[in-house]
Amino acid sequence: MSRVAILGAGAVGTRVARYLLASGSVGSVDRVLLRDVDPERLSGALAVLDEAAADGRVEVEHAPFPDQADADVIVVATPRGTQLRAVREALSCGIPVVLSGDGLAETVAVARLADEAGERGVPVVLGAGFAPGLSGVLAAHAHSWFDHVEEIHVAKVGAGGPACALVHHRALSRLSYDWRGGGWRRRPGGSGRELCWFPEPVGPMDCYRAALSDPVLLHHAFPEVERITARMAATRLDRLTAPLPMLSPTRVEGGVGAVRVEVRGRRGTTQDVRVLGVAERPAVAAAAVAATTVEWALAGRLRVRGMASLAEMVEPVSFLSDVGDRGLVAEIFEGEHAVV
Amino acid sequence: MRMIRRAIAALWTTAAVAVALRAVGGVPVERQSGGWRPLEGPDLT
Repeated sequence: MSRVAILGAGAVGTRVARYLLASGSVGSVDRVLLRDVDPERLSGALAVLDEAAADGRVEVEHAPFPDQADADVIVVATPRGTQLRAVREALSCGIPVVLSGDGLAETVAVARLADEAGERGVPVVLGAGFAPGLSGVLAAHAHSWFDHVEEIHVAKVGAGGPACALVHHRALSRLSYDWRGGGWRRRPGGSGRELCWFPEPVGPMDCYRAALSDPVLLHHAFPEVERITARMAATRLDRLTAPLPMLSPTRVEGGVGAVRVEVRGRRGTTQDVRVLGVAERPAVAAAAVAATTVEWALAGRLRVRGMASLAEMVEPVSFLSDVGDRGLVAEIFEGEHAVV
Repeated sequence: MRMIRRAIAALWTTAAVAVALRAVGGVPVERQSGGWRPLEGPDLT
């Protein structure tokens, strides 16, 4: 039996705890320690985890980071600006880390700890959420169908909790990083409009460049791919207000979101395109992915004993099957192209 | 006066080009038909 520490009792962290405590599979979790700096969030999480809390399987602590964490895995689901310290503290304790953050700057900062994670032999999974996370696993799966992959394009819609919404709001006003022809191209966030068709019920949405961490993590996983981009759906109002502070408070949790991964390359002698996607509420999807990653870490199924993205850490087909058991259904777009 | 005439002419030209593009249409757009289906069976091998 295992013990998991979850830092951050927000929309994602609480759900990760619920998934782990409900799991009856191999590597299931005996106890969960929830930490947060907001007592209201902790009491809300306890209410959600009612049954497990009554059994004494949930502990809550009103504190930010563990000094001496007594856990087999640490899940970092804290807001931006706190994840780097959380990962550093967890690494110093020599405990595997599952990070569900999606901010570009913080992901890059955490990635600088890769040498330390490698030296310690501690698995640190970067971007174990919806996007990055499931997007990378979909890309890895589609990648396996090609002889040579030339392009990977990720698009996403929706935000998990308020912290995620704030990251997305800021991302539209920051520089995006696209990998193209052997170098990083910096482009303004909010530019490069592209109509992307997501799985139902989301459907078609205008997507724009933004400061997203997907290209960085995908380039790490697939260094041979010549072009990697990431876009997020936004409205005109989102783009207009992106440079300003958030004018209105966000809802506790957003509606249904989606990720879409387009992979282009060569199969035999023909050029081909594969488009995969998933539609789900982002916090639910991120929690399912993070919880499944925790179970893989506890079962010793992670491929890398060091720092890597989820796409490098897991075997895509088995992972998609496991998250499918939690209701995340990966879909493929099948259609025809016709010039009119 | 000459400058105002030029500005008005430029505006008229811009409007005429915009109307022409709107009427004729731009670059052909690739239309997609099809839909999403769950990954299953041979897709997951």
